[in-house]
Amino acid sequence: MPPVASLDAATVQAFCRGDEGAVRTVYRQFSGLVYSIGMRVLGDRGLAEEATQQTFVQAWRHASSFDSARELAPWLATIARRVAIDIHRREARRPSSSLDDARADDPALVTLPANVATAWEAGQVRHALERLPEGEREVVRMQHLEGLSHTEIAEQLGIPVGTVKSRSFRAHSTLARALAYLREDVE
Amino acid sequence: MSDNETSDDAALLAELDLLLADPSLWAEPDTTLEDRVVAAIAAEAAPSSTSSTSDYFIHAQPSRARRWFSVAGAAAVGAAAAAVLTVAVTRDSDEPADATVAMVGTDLAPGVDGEAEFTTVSSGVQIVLRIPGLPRRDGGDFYQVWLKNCESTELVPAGSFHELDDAIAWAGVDPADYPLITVTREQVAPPKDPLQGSSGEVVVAGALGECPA
Repeated sequence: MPPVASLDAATVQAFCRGDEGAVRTVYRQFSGLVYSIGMRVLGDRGLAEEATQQTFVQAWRHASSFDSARELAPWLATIARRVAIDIHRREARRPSSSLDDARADDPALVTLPANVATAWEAGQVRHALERLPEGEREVVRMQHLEGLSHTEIAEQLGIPVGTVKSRSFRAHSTLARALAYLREDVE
Repeated sequence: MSDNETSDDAALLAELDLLLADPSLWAEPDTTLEDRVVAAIAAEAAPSSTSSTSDYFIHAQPSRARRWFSVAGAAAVGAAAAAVLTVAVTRDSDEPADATVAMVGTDLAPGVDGEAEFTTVSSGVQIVLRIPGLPRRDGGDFYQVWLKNCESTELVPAGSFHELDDAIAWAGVDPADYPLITVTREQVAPPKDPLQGSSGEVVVAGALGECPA
């Protein structure tokens, strides 16, 4: 099961009603999740931003059908993945030789990128990362993205190696707990 | 945490390592995207989009659409309506409709303002736009001028432009029936593509008088 919702029910209900403040709150809470799915599928910042915008618009359109007692993240992630795939298909069709004659609705013409398979997981990981304290998230980023050792991270951040190790341990423990529900999907 | 749990955690994190090492996982969207999302929802709710899903939603939930128009869409259109410089329209069928409307930038174009001058002639309504400050759009990107009715259920294109410092738009409708004027950011799209409709990314808006509440 995904982690418990971090948004209160009143905010989710306000989003469903279309309250602008709630839309901004939901965006700030989940834009990273949605955007990372777009990036994973599309691999382009501009298209990922378009996918993010469409995802929130579609979520709002269909908010009346959403059960506000449920977790919002998986619902948004599902929409985001579908939107990103639609945009990928649209982009893949663009180089048509004849705009009027193109069989634009033929899904057989478009091959989905391999990253689609892990797009949902990528979104969940991003969502979990964003809930880490800033200092711990930075250590994880430097360790995994930049491939730095604890010693190198300590030098770059100007903090003791022991602090880096403790932040890394706490961050990875938190991530492991938060993402344990993905285990059956990634095995 | 037991040794077994620690071992499981390590296994899980090892499996996730490829994701954590992917730069796309850490990428941040443009800081303006939040405002664009809010504006897109506001414009979507004020049914200006011509996409099929938009039409479905608007027809299915008209009350919500109207509420969003009054709350969020009014941030652009309502503010402009309050700032109308001159409304010298005499809707006498024998006279042309001459009016100058203040155009106000939305969150997508903060600080931008200008005016739109309406003149009705036999071939249609001429709209002279003087809106300096909008960045030029080229290479498949352009601005689109629209007229809308008060209910935001009908949208009329009035021309596409690189810039609007001094531009002339035309529309073949009566501005009394379509008193809302908006400018959106658009991109070239294939025929029948939903992108042929309004993007909903309103950058400037104005109103030729007030719409009924």
